[in-house]
Amino acid sequence: MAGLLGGDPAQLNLDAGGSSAILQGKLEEADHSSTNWYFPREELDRTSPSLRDGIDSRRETYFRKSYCTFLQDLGMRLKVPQVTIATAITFCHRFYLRQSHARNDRFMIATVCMFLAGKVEETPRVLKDVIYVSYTLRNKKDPSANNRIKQKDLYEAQKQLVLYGERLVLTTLGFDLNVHHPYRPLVAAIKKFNVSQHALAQVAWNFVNDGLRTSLCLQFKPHHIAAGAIFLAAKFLKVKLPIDGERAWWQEFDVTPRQLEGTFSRL
Amino acid sequence: MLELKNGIGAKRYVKGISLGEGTYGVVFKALDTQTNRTVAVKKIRLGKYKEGVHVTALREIKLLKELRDPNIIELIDVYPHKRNLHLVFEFMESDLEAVIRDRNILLSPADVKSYMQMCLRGLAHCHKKWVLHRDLKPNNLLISSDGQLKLGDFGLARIFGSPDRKFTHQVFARWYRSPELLFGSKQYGSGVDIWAAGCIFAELLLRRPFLQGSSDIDQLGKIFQAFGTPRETQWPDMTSLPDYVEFQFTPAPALRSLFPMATEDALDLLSKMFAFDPKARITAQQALEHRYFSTDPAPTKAHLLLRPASKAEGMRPPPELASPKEPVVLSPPAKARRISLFPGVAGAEHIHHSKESKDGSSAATVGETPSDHSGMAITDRSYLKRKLDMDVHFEDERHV
Repeated sequence: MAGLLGGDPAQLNLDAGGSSAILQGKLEEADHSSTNWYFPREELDRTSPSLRDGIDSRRETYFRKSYCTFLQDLGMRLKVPQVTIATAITFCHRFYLRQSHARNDRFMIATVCMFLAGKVEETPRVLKDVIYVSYTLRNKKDPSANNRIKQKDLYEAQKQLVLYGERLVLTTLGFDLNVHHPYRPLVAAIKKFNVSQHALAQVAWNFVNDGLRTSLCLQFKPHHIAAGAIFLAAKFLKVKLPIDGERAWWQEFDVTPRQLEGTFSRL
Repeated sequence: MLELKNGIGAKRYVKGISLGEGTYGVVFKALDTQTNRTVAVKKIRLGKYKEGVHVTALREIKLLKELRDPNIIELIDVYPHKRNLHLVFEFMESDLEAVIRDRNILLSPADVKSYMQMCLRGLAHCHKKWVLHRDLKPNNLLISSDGQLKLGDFGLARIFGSPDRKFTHQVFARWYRSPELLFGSKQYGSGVDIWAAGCIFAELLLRRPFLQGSSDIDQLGKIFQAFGTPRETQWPDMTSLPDYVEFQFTPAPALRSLFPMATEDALDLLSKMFAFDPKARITAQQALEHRYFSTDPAPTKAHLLLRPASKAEGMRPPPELASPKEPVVLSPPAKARRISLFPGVAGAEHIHHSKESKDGSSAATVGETPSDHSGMAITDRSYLKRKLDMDVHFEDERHV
């Protein structure tokens, strides 16, 4: 993806001309986080608790991808909205900012995060369903798993794990349950700039989803990611983005060219 | 890496008397040793709920962390302890229901204005952050020791704004429920809170609940008796609501006849808060900009509002009212006059007379109940420990 992008921030202005008169007010969401959840990549790599247990950043990246894939799959099987999946993924990312992979099974933590995200996003799924679906998914290759989890002993053990895990996740997250996603600023921007191309929205949306699987949401705030995704999508589809006099569209997101560059080069 | 502030959580607070039973657990008073502030700790039993931490608790935590405003209760801290979750709030001395009920308090027009202004400010902040309170009623409007009114109890609150999201209409105490809720609307907005705020406004003026329906249908009947049956032109969407039923037409009496003492401005604002069509109902922000708040009399300053007899007396220092530094005469003359009608029960003395009931009995037992939830066998625990890397405080609480 990075190959698509010129390094020169001036290029971010794209082609002037497609003007839009409705560029008023900012799209930035206020920062509500009582705790800072955003760190530069280098710091993330350097301070990872997993690293101290001998898990290098390549391996952690692999772990991250694997629980994201798992959560996406789990969420779809539980039929929760994408926002709930995104929240579960973010909880998981943040959990491993403060806890080690070596001592916390990532699929169990992911299951807990999905259960919790369901409640937090007002799309709850009953614990029993979460456990059944998660267990079968984790043991996909084992056809007997489906029946095994229905046995009381195994089910009870899994249930206790999830319930204790819920408390562990909550305390690790410092009870900070407000997760803001790039979806809202993305949709707002697309509406605001009157970008009617359905394709642009779709491609930008996909970039946001892709970004979710990386440490991107630990490095950049949602509206920065949204801005990066729109820019990248426009570039990808060779669509002109509107400009209003001196103000480029991305200024609406309150990002600097440098931040924007940083965002999309990671995408 | 992990801040162990939760570990010291339980030690940070010195437990005081019980303040009563909340929706999902005991609330007790405590002293925050870090700040020397009096706080209220809501203890939520985790073991009871088979679906893990209860969604109302999660909601309250999530939303209150988002809402920081002088007119919204502050969530100071959250920590797990034993098999409970503890939510630490700023301590609130009283609530608006106690004010309205306390016949020794005369509410001047300026006092009513002050309460309404604080209520609407808190509400405007909620709505700005896309949060619906959904349970406004006088006893959820808490009053701090410096007289500030704050919105409390966010256990029913929800984020709104996604157009296709459906909500339950079973919210609010019935008397504060808006007509669209009573007609079963599931896609409502901030108007439901405004209607409830209007009911509270009316209650402040009347000193009794305004529309006391005994069933949902009766509630609608009471509403239409007061404001007339809405016509199609007043509220076009009404007939398409899920539980819509046609009511026999009653004409609206003059609003003035219901609130003989209210000023024109007050009546005008009230009528806008009670607009039938939620789309036409005034917003919290618009209400705050209504001329009612800018014309005389100016709202009474919060710390000058007369406080009711407190619900629970504990380590709290005697209220300012009782102290010689702040004599009763600071209140508007009207109030002093009212109090003097009851020579025996003047402001200060009154504080002491109704405190006994709630606290005495349960005080000793709070927090000392041994946690006897057996949970799981010892052998299972080591497995857990391996799997989840439990924190110290999880570990030792299971041995308590």
